[in-house]
Amino acid sequence: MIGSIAAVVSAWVLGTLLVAALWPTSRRLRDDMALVASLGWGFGLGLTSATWFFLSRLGSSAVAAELVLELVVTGGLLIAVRKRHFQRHETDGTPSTEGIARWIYTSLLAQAALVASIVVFRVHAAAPHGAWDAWAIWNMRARFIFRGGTSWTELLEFPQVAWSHLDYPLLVSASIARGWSLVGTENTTIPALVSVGFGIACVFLLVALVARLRGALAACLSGLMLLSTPFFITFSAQQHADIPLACFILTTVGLLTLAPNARDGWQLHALAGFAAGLAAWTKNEGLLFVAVLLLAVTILRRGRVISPQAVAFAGGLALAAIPVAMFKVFHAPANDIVSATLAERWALLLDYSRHATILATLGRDLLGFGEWRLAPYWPMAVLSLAFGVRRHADGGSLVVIVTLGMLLGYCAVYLVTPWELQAHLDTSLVRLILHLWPTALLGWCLYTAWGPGAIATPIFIVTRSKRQIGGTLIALNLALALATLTALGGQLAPHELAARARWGADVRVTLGDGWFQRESHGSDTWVWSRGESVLHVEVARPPAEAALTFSMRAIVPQTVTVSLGDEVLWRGVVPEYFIHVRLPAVPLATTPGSISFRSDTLGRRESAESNARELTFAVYNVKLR
Amino acid sequence: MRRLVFFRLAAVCVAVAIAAVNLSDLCFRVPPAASSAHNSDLALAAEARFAGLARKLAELQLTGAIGYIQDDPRGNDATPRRYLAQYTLAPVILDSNNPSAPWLLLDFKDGAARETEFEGYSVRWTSGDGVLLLQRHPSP
Repeated sequence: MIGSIAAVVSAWVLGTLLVAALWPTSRRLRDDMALVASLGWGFGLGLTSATWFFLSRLGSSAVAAELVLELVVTGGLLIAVRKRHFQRHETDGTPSTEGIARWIYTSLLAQAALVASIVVFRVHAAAPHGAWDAWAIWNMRARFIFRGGTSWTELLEFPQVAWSHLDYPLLVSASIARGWSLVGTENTTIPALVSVGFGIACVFLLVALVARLRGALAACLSGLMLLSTPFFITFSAQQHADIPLACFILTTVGLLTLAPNARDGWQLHALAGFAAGLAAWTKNEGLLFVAVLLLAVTILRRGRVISPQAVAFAGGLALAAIPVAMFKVFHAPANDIVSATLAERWALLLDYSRHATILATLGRDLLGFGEWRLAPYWPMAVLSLAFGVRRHADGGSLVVIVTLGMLLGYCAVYLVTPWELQAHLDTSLVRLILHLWPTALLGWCLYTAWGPGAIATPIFIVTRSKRQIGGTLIALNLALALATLTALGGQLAPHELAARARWGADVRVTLGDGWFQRESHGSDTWVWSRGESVLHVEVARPPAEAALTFSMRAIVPQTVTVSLGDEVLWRGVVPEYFIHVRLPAVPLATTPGSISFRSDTLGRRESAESNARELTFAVYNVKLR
Repeated sequence: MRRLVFFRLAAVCVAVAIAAVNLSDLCFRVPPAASSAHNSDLALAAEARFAGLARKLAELQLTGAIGYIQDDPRGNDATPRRYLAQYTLAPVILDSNNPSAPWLLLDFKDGAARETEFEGYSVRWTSGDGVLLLQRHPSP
């Protein structure tokens, strides 16, 4: 675990130093450290994945070569950073209402981050190898790179694995393979760290960018909007490449937005170009992003494309494009969408039924892609109304053109797709919209006129001392965190019916054989039996004894016997209406017990449908006393 | 002016409240993961199912492509089973279009020994639950 973390963190440190070395000297680096560090994740993993793409062909000396290269580069960057940013500045130690407000905003974000972290951990624990695309594409190719030795490039040219989209770029796969190679073994930790790391970087980057451009309140709200997007949180743990692409799109647009405000603009343009190239190294949609970005920049600069900043941008883009070009030219087959007979499908561009299908699905998915209980669009609109909308915003036009351009590009691809249109839309559009969501939030913040002092600080906060306020906030945060952890800790896993963790005891009732899937509605949880079924009582830290209580009902009246080994705990007629059952207290030791339920009646079909279940009796709301 | 400030404060509070609702809803929709004994994740199951075969392939130093045959290639789960078998057994390539390859991997759900259907092959390894590695007899 520690080795895996070190392997990934070393790339992050390298990336952070790269960004710091190129950061404009017009601002104190310490003031922008959060921004630099969050940029460092993408740049670090992008750069090291590219070096591993080349060095992995060296066989047994690849790891040593990679380590030496990274150490040399890291050392050089460290020297460069110290030289460029060694300045002393006076610090402002006066507490202010703005500082207090920042503490409140930080508290809100921290609480949201805590909940998001718990969800991410649960998603990863349920599927350590990730979701479909993870094991069918990204992690599978990482295995080919890691296990294939020096000939891994030939393995990826076998047509028998063409279904794995062999033309997809290799940033994620090469990053994972690099991590495995550095620690010497495969594990599920490194793919998870890469995936979740990009999610965390995206959130931190958005908050830091908006804080720099629009202040703390806007930063807090943009971070909350992103952290409370369920699809973004769950997808961060599923080890796809969509979140990394979203991170690079935000990085590129964010850096170009910062650039007009910095005296040293060419460095930020170089980093932006590099980030755009890394987007192309992440997914094929990144190539579309580069094309749209170049168009956007050309439009916004009104044709004035020759400038030091433009040259720097092109230089950064060209550098990051090297591994992309090498991969596409020498290793990748043609893309399945592009390589199918385009000539026959140009006519589809004029098929208005396809336009209608795409627009209808786009409208549906724009409203619901985030899987929100309550969509945030209304509060975002009200906030813009309350604070005012800017007619002109630095970087805002770029966000609008990039977002709309990408959506248009996606629609064009769907128009000519060789696959069944609705199926293609249903399986991919929400992820494409997710690519643009963090950047769209940036655009929302840019166009809203937040302004300093936009929220009145309640008088009672102003009159308290910094220590009192800080102490109150810490206590409040700890209490909230404890309440959150307690509430979430009491949730049951899918195979559990009851749990009691109290006074050092930990007992759980889990489903054994003979049950259908657990069901729930509101506060009720139940499970139907096939006729003979078992509940396991798993004891981690035993209490002296425990009693089970539950309700039962049957599809037709029947006699049910509940026993623990040879001892009959309960026998009775279970009717079609609910009856309450309390089993006698059973002594529990460290070995788990199995409580068997047996009906004297065969199952009865629940309906006339062909796939109807044959049900006997159900157990409701099991409780441990 | 004061009214505007309170309107802004209210808008911020509503936005924070909606974020809290969405996060709470997410927590209830994503329960704790099942323990390893109860985890129904497809990839974990495939790793366990093919672990022995992966070790055998490494022992035999098999590389390149081997034939891959399922009992129900048109079933609903045929595609994920094939993809997961490839994921687990990489870098060996599974070829589902070559039933007469020198080496065959049989991936059968029902666990019954089916090697008698493959004349000219002998079983080199079996998991006992439907995974068999067959080798073609050398031609005379």
